[in-house]
Amino acid sequence: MQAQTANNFDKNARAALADPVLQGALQNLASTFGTRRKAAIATVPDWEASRETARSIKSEVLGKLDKYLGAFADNAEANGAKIHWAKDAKEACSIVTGLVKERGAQMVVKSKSMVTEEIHLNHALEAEGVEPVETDLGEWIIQLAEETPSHIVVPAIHKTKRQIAELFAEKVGTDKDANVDELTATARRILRQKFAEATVGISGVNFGVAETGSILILENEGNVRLTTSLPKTHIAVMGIEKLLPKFTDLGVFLELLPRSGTGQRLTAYQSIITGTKKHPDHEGPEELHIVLVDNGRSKMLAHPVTRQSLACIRCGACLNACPVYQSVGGHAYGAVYPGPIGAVITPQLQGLAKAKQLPYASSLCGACREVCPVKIDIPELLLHLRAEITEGTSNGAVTDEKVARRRGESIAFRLYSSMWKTPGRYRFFQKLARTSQRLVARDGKIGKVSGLIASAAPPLGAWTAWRDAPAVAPESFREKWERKLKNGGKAE
Amino acid sequence: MTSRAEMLDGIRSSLAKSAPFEGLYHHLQPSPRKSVRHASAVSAAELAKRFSSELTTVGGEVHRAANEELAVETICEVLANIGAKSVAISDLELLKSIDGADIELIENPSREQLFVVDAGITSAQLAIAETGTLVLRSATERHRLVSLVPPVHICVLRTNDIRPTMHDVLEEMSNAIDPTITFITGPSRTSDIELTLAIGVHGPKRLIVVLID
Amino acid sequence: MKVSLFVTCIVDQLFPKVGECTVNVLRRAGCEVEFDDRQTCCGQPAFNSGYRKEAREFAERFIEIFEQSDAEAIVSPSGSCTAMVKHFHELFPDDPAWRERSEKIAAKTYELGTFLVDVLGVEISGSAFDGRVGFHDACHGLRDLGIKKQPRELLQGIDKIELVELPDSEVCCGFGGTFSVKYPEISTQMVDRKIENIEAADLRAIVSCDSSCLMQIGGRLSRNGSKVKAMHLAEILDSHE
Repeated sequence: MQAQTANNFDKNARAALADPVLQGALQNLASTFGTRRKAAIATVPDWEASRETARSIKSEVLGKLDKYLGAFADNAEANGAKIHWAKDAKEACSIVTGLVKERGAQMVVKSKSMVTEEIHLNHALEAEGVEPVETDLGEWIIQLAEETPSHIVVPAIHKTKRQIAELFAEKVGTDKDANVDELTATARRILRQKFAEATVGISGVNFGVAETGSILILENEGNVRLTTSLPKTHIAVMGIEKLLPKFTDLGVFLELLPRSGTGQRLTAYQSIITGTKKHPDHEGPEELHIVLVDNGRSKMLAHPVTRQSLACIRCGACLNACPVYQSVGGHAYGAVYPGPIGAVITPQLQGLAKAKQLPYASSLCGACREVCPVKIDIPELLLHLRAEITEGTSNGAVTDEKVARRRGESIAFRLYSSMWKTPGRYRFFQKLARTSQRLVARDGKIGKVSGLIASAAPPLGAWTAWRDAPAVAPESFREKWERKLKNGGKAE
Repeated sequence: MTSRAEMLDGIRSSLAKSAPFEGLYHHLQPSPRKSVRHASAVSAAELAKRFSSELTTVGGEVHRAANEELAVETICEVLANIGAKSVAISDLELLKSIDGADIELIENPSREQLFVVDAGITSAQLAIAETGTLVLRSATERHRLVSLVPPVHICVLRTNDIRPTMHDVLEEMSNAIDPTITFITGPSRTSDIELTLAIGVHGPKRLIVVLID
Repeated sequence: MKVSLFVTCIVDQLFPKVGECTVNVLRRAGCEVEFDDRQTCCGQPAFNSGYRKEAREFAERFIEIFEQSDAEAIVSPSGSCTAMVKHFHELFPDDPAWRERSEKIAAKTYELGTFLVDVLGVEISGSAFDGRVGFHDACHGLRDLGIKKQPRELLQGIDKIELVELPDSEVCCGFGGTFSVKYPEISTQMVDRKIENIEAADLRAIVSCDSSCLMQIGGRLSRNGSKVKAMHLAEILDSHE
């Protein structure tokens, strides 16, 4: 439905800023999550130590991912799970749809999973005549609306209650003035039927444990438990980077993830599933299939700086903290993963050429880095990606497709470097600036410039469209120093 | 289809590409892992108090019972309060002595029965005081669906089974990991609509714990 | 103590008064101030836009010039430019010699407020500014350099001042270098949110340690016809009204 792509970020952003309903929804997000998260992390005795521990664990796993992935597969299989290896989205979809069709299911229940969004699993299932039913309330809402999620944790955050009530009225016939409890009860009633009928349940995985072959999935609604306990077959789709070495490592991540993501000490439910049941008449699925998805992740390991983005535990805290995300929302990024982490992993997963605006869609303020539970230095990564774009390298990104060089900009920067190399040239540049600005400067300020001047100097046009710019001073500091300041002598 | 060997080889060769550069980026490496802090020894009574208060904060309900007989009585009162007509129970021995007038007790409920009963009763094997969390281990008791499908979950817990933190529980379970371990902290909930909290989504709408001293 | 002034290109060209006030304040604090007029720019615009080769050229130039000074400290009226100097070492991943030289220079480079409070430990007396003043925590200064208490301590020491703590003082003003002109609509919305808080607090002045933030905030205030002044910490410390 949306033709928004990552390379249209500027257009998407403008549209988002002009959308008052979206702006209202985003303001709600900014104020609510900040407060909740702050209160939640205050309950951890040493939050910084926990972050440091988590980061160490993730660095360990990523540095030896082949070893840990092998151990995870071995241990999961020893407990009765079947492991599938998918090198890309196409293969992952093919595996999942194959499993579903072999079992004769025409409808499957699904819990929320960003990796399944990434591989576009629902499209693949529908193309094979299978109806995927999203059971997480937020995901079900956007499924009804035929949209994509705009946030990693709260997929329908861009919608107001009013819009949701109207959507439900249109699609499932409820009252268009229904309140939140009534809307929730509607979802429960309708989806319950699907849970009762489904023979295949598809979930994601928050953490895999190498030592035991376990998978952990957390949630608040209960739909994950239903999806993974009622149907005969459970298919769990997992990004290969979602591993932890030891079972007890789950502790620190359960401390960090709910607090960072939703400001909760713990979500209502966590399920740790290790293989299949040990006796046929025990409860639970007969089969557990774990689909390991690469889709560009292994290539990211080739770059020692940007690969830390694989440590991401998909908590969404960086989105909530980001003033740019707060302004434009998730859809503007035109990618499955929005916000700061999206700006960093999308160019790596899809190639820089498909997402060349995203590394620039940031003021580098660092709020994301501050809140990331695994201490990913997102601004550092954005700077690396910007350098890769200008230098034409692509180390770590999936494809080598080069981003077209921005000739005008690189000439400008070369000029800036060479003009300001020596004091003589720098002073000349200053005189040039003072002369040329006479066209536009009044009383020490430059107001809105347009037309020819704006096209000759686009940054000046862009700046002065909304802000006054200072004129180059008639006497620079160094001239003032020379004239009077340097003889000010030592202080009293 | 990709084989395991192909995928792991791909990972290995990527890691080999970055290995020569890792030393240069030493400022990005984290410091060595610190050990996890465990709570100091706390009495069972204090743990019970903490557990109750935390669970109540997130919308769970807690009743105290001095012993098993009183626990069963409490359960019957709760069932009467909610007007339960049919109730699913796990295979916990204690639950067989529940004798509520006019209440149909179903052990080993079928799929259809699970979706129509008014409540499900189980116990929990462990609990976490710091967050008010119940821990259900599938190898010990048949409670996976009974604790999930009915709209009310009544759960029996002994104070001796309460541990201070999640770390303690994970440590304790790490030698004997059940096929399914479920952590429950309050009734089901969502904030997906305008970040407004709604209780009772797909899982139980009410969680009632009967805590036996 | 002898300090070498790293005035920054933006102050030199656009806000020279900030440089003048910085010199005055440092002298009032008892420092001897030297200014090497061969300096131009720290290269932050190039670095932030991904032009590392050009950034490296600026860094090498900076290091060469300031290595020749016998001053005990290099002081700058800019948090972001000081932070850039601290990041110089990242420009020399394959050159340990340059890396060491950059780290030496970085170790003695300070933002003005930090220098006065944490290094000199002095109080600046004799300043006066009558009115309500708020402080904007510039991102690089706050998150890279830990600047938070120091400017507030200095501001408290000003006669007649009424220091007001603004909500969301730590939220980015929307400048972000080229971000401000690549995505001007987003940048403007970000500064508008900040200005909402500024106007609601009925301030006479909004103060910061970064002229680029002040250019953004001040530029929008000016376009709005607002009476609120955007002032650098050095300017208000050198004020006697």
